[in-house]
Amino acid sequence: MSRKHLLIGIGMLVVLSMALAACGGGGAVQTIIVEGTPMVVTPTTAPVSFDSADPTTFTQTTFGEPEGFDPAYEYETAGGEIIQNTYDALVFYNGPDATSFVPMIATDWTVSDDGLTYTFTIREGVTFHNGDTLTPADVAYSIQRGILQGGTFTPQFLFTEPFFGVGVYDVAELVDPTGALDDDAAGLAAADPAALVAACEQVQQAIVDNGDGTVTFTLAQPWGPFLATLAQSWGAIQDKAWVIANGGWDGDCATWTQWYARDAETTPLREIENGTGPFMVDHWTRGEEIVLVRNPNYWVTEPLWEGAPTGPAAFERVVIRSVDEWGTRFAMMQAGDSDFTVVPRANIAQIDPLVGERCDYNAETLGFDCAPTENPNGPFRLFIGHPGVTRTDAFFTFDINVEGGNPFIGSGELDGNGIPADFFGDVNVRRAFNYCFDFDAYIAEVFAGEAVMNVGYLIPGMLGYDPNGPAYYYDLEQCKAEIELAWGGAVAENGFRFQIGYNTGNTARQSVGEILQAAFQDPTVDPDGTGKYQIEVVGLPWPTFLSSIRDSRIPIFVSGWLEDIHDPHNWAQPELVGTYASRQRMPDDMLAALQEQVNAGAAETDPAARAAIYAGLTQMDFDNALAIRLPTATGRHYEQRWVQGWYYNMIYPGTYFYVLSKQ
Amino acid sequence: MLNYIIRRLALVPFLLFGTTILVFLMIQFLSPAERSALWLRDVPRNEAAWDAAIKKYCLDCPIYQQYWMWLAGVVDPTSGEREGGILHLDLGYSRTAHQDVIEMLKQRFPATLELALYAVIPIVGGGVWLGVLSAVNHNKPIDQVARVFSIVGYSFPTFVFGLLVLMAFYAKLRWFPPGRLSDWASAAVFDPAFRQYTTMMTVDALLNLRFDIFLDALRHLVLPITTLSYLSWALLLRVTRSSMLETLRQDYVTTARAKGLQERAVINKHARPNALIPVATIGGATVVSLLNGVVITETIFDYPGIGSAAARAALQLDVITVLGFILFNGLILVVANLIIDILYVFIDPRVTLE
Repeated sequence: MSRKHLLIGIGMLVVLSMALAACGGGGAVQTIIVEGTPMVVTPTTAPVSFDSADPTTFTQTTFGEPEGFDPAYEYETAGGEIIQNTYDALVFYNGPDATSFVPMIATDWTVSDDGLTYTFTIREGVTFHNGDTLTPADVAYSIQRGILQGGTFTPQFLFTEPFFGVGVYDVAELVDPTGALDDDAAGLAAADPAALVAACEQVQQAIVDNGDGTVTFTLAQPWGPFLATLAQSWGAIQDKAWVIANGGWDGDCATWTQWYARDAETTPLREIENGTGPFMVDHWTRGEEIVLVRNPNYWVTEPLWEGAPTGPAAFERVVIRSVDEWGTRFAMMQAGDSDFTVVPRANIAQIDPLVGERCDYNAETLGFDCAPTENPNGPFRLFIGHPGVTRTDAFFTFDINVEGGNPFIGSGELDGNGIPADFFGDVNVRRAFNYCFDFDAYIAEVFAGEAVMNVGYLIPGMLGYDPNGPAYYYDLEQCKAEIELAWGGAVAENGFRFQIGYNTGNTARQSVGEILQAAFQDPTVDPDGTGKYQIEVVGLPWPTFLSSIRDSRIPIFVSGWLEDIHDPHNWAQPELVGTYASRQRMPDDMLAALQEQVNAGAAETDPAARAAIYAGLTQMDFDNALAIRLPTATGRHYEQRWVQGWYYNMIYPGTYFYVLSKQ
Repeated sequence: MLNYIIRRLALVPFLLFGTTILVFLMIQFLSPAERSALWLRDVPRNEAAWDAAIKKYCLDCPIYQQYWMWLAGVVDPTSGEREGGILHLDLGYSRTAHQDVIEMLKQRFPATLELALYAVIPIVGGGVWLGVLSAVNHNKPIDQVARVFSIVGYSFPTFVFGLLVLMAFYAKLRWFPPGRLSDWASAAVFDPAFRQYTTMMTVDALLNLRFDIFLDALRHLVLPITTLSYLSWALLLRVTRSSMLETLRQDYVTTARAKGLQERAVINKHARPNALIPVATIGGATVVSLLNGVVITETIFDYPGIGSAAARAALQLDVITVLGFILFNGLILVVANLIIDILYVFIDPRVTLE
């Protein structure tokens, strides 16, 4: 061997050793976590002390950023997190319980017997961050302003429905009920001025400052989720004078259309904030960090719920750093420069060996039961098993759009080389696909075993959810039986071929297609082994995927929902009649029957009666096999062990820093 | 020389706008519905949201109309304000960066410039030094080691090397953190008492006489510079080595040795300056690529430069932002190449600008 070759070989050995050292994780044994299986970890040399070097600053590393800080506009979790920490709402959640509420800006409230009128007494002595005093006029203005700013891409539909009727998704529909003016600022501004003023006055009449320290909300029908809606970030109370001074609506009904359907770049409160909350925005460096500083004059002197903190927050500063790369976030956790981080499911095996304390969710107490792991000196704490509030489902398109050709359906005929446009219009087909879905495989592949089966369109624990209710389970024999009934036997005779699209990079949605693909190739379903049931799984760029769903071209489209409020209406509406149902192109009579029950559920205030309505919808969903309801993931939350006070409220948009401290 | 400079700069608008026209043509392959995805978070509640986005941003308008709107801007019918318009020096709003494109460039380019300025010295200096060392010790062990060292770096995926050094020198040793500044330094920088003249942290720290912040900012630059350097040395070493070897074989070098000059003087005064002429081209290209942003390095070390922002915009089809980057980076490219061409005149007297 020449000296040259020897040196090259030494160089490669050096590289290989460095790579092995990096991948070795410090000698710790890595174990994939499977639900119910204890973690086995080789003890590391992590420090025993769990004291933070800087208990005055909390650092959270995450990915993604808000679009802005405008409570009327923000409809994503990153912005919602900032708003929840810098503003207050009329009511708030009772600690970890997402279904009960405590007074916040309101000191108390009454509800009329018919459920149409809510009257809130407004707390005195609350000041905004700029020193202005909060008044009932600010409360009324805040909700009015949000509704009038409108836009179907904002959360304002959550207010327009209760105030103006089920199915009213935008304030523009007070001017044109057909919805033709939705999101059309120019068109709305050109409408009849009298109609515009009337619409604004209708909003103002629904939300009234009574002048005696109270504000009254008058609804179009009783609305079960009303308090839940007020508690979220879009119910945040703003300083009217300050909003106007900073370019917001001036409260005049002659001018409201100037602010209608503002988008991210033009909404006036995009990057400024003046709430009453425990923190204030210090600065926002796009793509880098948002820094919050403590509000030294925070008004809370009595605990809002049992065990809640009072007075100014424990942290002087909260730093929310945008760090896209998981490896970098992990390094920051190891170095102690991050107190909490988002851990992708695929990377839990890296961090789990460093967990020294594991806390399992207790559904009865809504808390966690904690115990040391086999690596008690591990620097991290893991909270695990708490229920998620997001779910992905596979929706059938009843009437596939074939205008201009459709590459997803092959020949377009039931000839073994395609499917017709109404292929999923047959309930036996839909049931077959439900029975053919291996839910356990999905849970194992996508969630590493950490998910629960879903019964129907609601999520576990929700009002109306029955874990023993009707649901489809993996049963290939049943699948085969349903296929043999489908289309009078033509499907079993001829076979089919079509494509399932998913957005590239979304491995969960990809798995859905691949699981179905495998099931229809199983000998139980296709005993002859002819391969007559062909499902192709196709990755699409996000814009193409979205537009294909819009146009109802994908035979089965997989998409997810993250609830806005923890209420069954917020699942029934989008899943059964709204966002997704409109893309499914269901038969009108089916849609009408579902809509009737969805409306009834929203208007009902008695919990028992509501539960019965939503249970009935679950039955309808099952009978018609509207979609494949996929399992709901349970959560994991990792933090440094010096962090104190975290609890899980499933509907919080992000971290509520006020309740946290560091030792 | 002045005429040459003016002629080169006069071509810039045509080059840049020609590129933007090309991009506009390419995006026509996407349907308006596909392009509307940028403004839609997920499956919208109703069909109106899609149609509204398409109508508002004129995504189904003829291409010349869309291009003119980008050039001249659009007057909002309700507020009466003009939005966008490159002719008004408004590059539009970046949906991916959540700020105006110009603001994004103003924020991120100084970070990229700072990284480039500090990185170019070890990259070029280290690469040239290694190349000269290799050439002077041709086929000796030093030469072999240097070449292996640099080839390993060239072969190493940036991503892997970056994560390795991050784990070793930050996660384990806590020597060199990612990002631009530590929390305490960031708080000081955003304090009203601290004046941000350039938004380059090291420069501003010195101008504010805050040497602690200066050192902290330098500390944050170590790992990205190390990564960029190690991965860039191979090319510079090879070019320098080849050029140096060729130069060392020249007659005038032989003459210099024959005259009794010390070997150090032969190499430093006679050989190396002439060997660096082709290296100037590579070095210039390295500087230009650094100024255009280094996506992977920025991502791994959480360094907020323009590279990562451009990549994010491209992935999400944020056309306005991508066009802004094209214009900006095109300008950088032209100016940087012009400077390099001018430097050539001083490096090599035989070269004239025509």
